[in-house]
Amino acid sequence: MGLPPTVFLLAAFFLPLAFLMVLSVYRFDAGLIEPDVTLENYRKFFADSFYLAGLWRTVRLAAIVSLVVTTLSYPVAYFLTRTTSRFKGLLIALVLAPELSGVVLRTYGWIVILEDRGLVNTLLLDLDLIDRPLRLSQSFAGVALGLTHVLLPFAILAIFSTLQTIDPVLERAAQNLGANRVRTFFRVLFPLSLPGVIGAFFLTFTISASAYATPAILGGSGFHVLATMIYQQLLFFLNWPLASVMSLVLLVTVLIVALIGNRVETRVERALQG
Amino acid sequence: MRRFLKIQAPALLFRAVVVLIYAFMFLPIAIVVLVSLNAEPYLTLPPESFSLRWYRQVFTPTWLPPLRYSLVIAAAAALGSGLLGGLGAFAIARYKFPGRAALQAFLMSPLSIPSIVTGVAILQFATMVNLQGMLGTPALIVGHIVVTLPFTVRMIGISLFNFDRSVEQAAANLGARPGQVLRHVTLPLMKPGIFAGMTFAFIVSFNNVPVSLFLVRPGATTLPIEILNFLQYRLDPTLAAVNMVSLVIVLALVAIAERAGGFTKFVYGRS
Repeated sequence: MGLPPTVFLLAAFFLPLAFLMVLSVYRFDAGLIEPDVTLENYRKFFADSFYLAGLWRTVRLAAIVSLVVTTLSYPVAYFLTRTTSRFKGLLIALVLAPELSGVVLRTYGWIVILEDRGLVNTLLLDLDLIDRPLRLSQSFAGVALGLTHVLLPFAILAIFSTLQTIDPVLERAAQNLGANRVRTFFRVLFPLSLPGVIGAFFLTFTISASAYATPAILGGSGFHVLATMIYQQLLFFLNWPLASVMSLVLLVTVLIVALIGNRVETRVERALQG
Repeated sequence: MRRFLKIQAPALLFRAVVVLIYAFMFLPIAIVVLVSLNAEPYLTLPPESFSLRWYRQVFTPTWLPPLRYSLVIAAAAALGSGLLGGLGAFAIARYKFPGRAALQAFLMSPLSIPSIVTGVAILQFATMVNLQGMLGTPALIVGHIVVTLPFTVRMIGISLFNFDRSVEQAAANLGARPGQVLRHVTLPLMKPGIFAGMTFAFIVSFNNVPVSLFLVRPGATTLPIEILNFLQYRLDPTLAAVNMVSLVIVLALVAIAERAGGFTKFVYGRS
């Protein structure tokens, strides 16, 4: 029974990925791809400060966004776990709704809010707080804000599903033994929820490092992260071997970060089991 | 007052933070709703007059073909992903065999690869091995099945782990043949998971950008890519209306799935 999906993934996913690696060592010469093995494409990527800056921007953006997203998600996840409201189901569905609305719709909303003639700038100009519109869209901060918004539902649901598995009896026990709420939280609940927090952090890192739509639209044409550079190489410059190298750099970055995340998560879990 | 600060204030502050984060999550969506209903091309707050003029623009030859195309691709991807994911989840849940954990990890692997890399790889592969004929519709469906497969495997898996095997045994003891048990007992019990998984796959495909970006062909573009192309140049309120129409389609699907046996519980549930 497991055979059809396995064969499908091998043919439609792993074979193309293997091919991507092969293409990354092919020679790109005068617009043609020659099947000679060369490391020229890698040299081109790692010797060019423009590409390296794009890589660094990708990592920095993903790190900042996942830190902010994880921090903001915790209170909401905690609230959803402990609320006794009869609207609990609805409140959970409301977290899910933005995720279902798609990245394009939300990016559009942010442009209307952030652009030079957008809502924020109009308001600030009307109040005479600024003379010229602030550069809110077409900027690193704008992209970070948009990505934070895109990833909040993922992180909230990831942390929520861990918090749910923690027995509330543990908290009551700590309080009965004389710990106040703050102490109970930091000594009991938070450590137990750490695997979920770490999972959420690394999940959001992976997704924001590979995001295309938000940086492309909110960052504008001069804003380059790996995803937008891959798109350009592939569809404008038609340098497919270089696009393959960039894709592999993105892939390896994400895998390294995921590996670190896994390690940390196992450590924490082992420590918790004492 | 001091008592208030000590006991009530932190709880109130916590509530306020949660409310603010919820507000943040809905801010851009609310803005898009307002833009789509605003009579003027530029949004002022509060809007001076409302109209449905932008919605009329949606149902024109500019937007209807990509909308229809996205629906077709998403339906095909959901079917394929539901079928393959159902088989995978069943194998993982029901058979003890060496490498079961490996199979699970294997079927979840598209989740840990950036989707944009998946899109690039499929485009390059299809082009270089002379399968250009596959680009466009077939490649889009295949690419979307790849990225949605982990979700259907997991969500259908949840429905398989959560049910009582003794019901199947009871049916067998009462004389049902294995095929009958599957058809009359197991599949009906799996149905909510299958339905939720396929709905999720449909939505992921319907909203997909990173894979479609490389696999659409000129003249046959999915809705999100078409909107993205327009967004690079201008901010037409018609785009807001188009986005709203696609959001309503998604929400209607979720409502149907929720009624049919639950949706949200499969999304955040653990197997």
